[in-house]
Amino acid sequence: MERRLNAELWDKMHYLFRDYNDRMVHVELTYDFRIDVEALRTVLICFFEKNPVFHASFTDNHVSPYWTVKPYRIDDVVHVREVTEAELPAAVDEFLTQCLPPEGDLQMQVMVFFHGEKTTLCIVENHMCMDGGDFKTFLSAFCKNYNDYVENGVSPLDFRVGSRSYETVYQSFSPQEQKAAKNLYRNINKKDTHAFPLTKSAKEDRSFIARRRISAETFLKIKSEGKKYGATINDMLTAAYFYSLYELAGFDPNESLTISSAIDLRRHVKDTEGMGMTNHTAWMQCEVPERGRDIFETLQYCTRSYARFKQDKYMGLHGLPLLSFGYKIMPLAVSEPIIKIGYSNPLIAMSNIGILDVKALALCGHEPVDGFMSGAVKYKPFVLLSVTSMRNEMTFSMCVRGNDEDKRIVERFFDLLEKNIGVLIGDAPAAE
Amino acid sequence: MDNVTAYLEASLAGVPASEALSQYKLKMTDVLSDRADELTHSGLRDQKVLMDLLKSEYPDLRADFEAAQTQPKKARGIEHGRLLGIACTAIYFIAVGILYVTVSLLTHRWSLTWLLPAAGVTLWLEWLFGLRIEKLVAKRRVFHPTARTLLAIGVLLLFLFAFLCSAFLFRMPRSWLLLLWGVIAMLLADAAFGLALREKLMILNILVYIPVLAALVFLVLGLHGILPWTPSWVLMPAALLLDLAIIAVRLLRHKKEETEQEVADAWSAD
Repeated sequence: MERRLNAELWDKMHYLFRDYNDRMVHVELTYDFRIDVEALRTVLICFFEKNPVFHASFTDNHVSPYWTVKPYRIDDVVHVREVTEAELPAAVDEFLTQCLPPEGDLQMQVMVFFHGEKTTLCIVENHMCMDGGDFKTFLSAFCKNYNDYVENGVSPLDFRVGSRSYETVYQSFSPQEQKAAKNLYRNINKKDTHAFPLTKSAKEDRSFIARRRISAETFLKIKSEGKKYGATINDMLTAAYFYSLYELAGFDPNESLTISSAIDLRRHVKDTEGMGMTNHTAWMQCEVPERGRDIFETLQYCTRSYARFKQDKYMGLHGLPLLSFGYKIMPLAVSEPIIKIGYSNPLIAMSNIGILDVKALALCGHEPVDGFMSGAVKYKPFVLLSVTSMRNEMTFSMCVRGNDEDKRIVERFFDLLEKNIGVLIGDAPAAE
Repeated sequence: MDNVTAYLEASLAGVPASEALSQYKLKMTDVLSDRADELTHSGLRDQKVLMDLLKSEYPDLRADFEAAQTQPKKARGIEHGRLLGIACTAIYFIAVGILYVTVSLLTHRWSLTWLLPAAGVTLWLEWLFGLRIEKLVAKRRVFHPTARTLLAIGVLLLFLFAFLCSAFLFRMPRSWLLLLWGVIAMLLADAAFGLALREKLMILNILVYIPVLAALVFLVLGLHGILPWTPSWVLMPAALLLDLAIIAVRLLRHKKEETEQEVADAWSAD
């Protein structure tokens, strides 16, 4: 008999985002040994069996969408390729920029690139199934299960399973707080028409992932210099993002500008036990009233703006009941266009995915030597800057569907970002 | 297959041998073997992992067997109840049929006596709906809309029968207005039922029902000649004003709750 799974609120929301991005989440991890592919397949089968949404097909039936669990072969999920060091970057990019259709039977693809004695593990998964937060949890669980299986012969069944409902974010609240949170119908995010200066969309556009590595030395300086200004790493990066954008796009320095920053709603949950793999991400808007005389003034604006948001006990939960209400009372074919009108997808966004913990990601005692994670490939004019760090080395990545000119623009943006971070930490002189 | 049999034997060791146990073992051998085949087809080659995965999916076969043993008794009870229901329904309809034929033969008023079977069918449907509504209300909230729909149909059916009596038996003028009264009663019943069930967002239904009810009442009372058309049109704007008042009260109450929460937070922060 056909097995169906409920399409949860965030599944529907990320399905709606198909007009703004390709809904894929990407990760790349490099190890200095050849991993056991058979063990990897075994661990992944167990994960797929515990979380059937990864081998399910999404059905948009215009009334109430759902997932249908499909039979699969793990060989269609895990692929293996031998490449040379020279071939590797292009092969990785080609794999990571693929888009898995939600109507397909598989929502995750894994590629193992063997290059010499090293392995580069690349995974692409549908954002409708889980976000970066749970992807990190999945990777940690995957590595732990792989290690227990390979080293001790323990069956890899230790995966978190549970409800994928958006309402699990309320579970740690008191009944009174739950009532208050479930009444936050108002969407507090404002619309900002400023856009990243990319070229116009064209049929010839192709997906690409631009990356820039920031050294561990710079990362540690950002941390220590930030402390002097009472700013977090996120504040420092956002200030540099703002300043670089004003410079790159030539926005009027007196104009206000907004960058939306992704927040993990699991911050409201004390114990994630019983929560399934899903999405729990919302946007927090950081707004500067003007560019500021220098980047330090921009940093002050950012710190103040974030502080205002952080004071809110229900940070990120505003508007969720309204979305849920919209999907509940109307069929999908009606609710989607209405929600699209009310929902403003941020044109300029940032996702600080955070630390990729090398200890948690170690396979058989081999910590990953390199790696990053990034969000979906955005369609112009939308952009998302993803930030991850590993061994204190930070990776900026921006996934865009564009042309060579867009690549150059993004590279120029990364140059400016690096320069402005340099100014913030005192490594480079201020321009003015 | 051997592993599956061994797991079944180990799990059910100590359970007294019986025909039911043999049947359960056969059934579970098929279920577990099919699942093992499915996992093997997916590419799971490690038999130990495969068995551990199966065990995690079917962790307590003994409890499952014991639960399965009690189910046939329940199923038999349900089956007996269903058969009794069918027999009672058949007897009821035979009785209604006999009553209809007897009354018709005695009175020779065949043009009116058909109302008797109509009454019988209406009563039977109302009883059936009542039973179903009671069951649905006891279930999860997702079944409540079906219960509300059945209640609405039940109310409309009653008014349809009243209309038939009024039109054919009593030959009252404007009997068809009873159908409009039926719609009014249906909306009122649904609002009351929804509030009693504490349905989520019932207030939205009520906000829609108020102007619709006002328009219907205006129309029906006007057609009956009870209220003159001219001043009573005020009912409709009054209904909209009532809607606005309800919205305002709800917003104020919501605001008050928010403020109380903020105050509570401020206190607990200290």
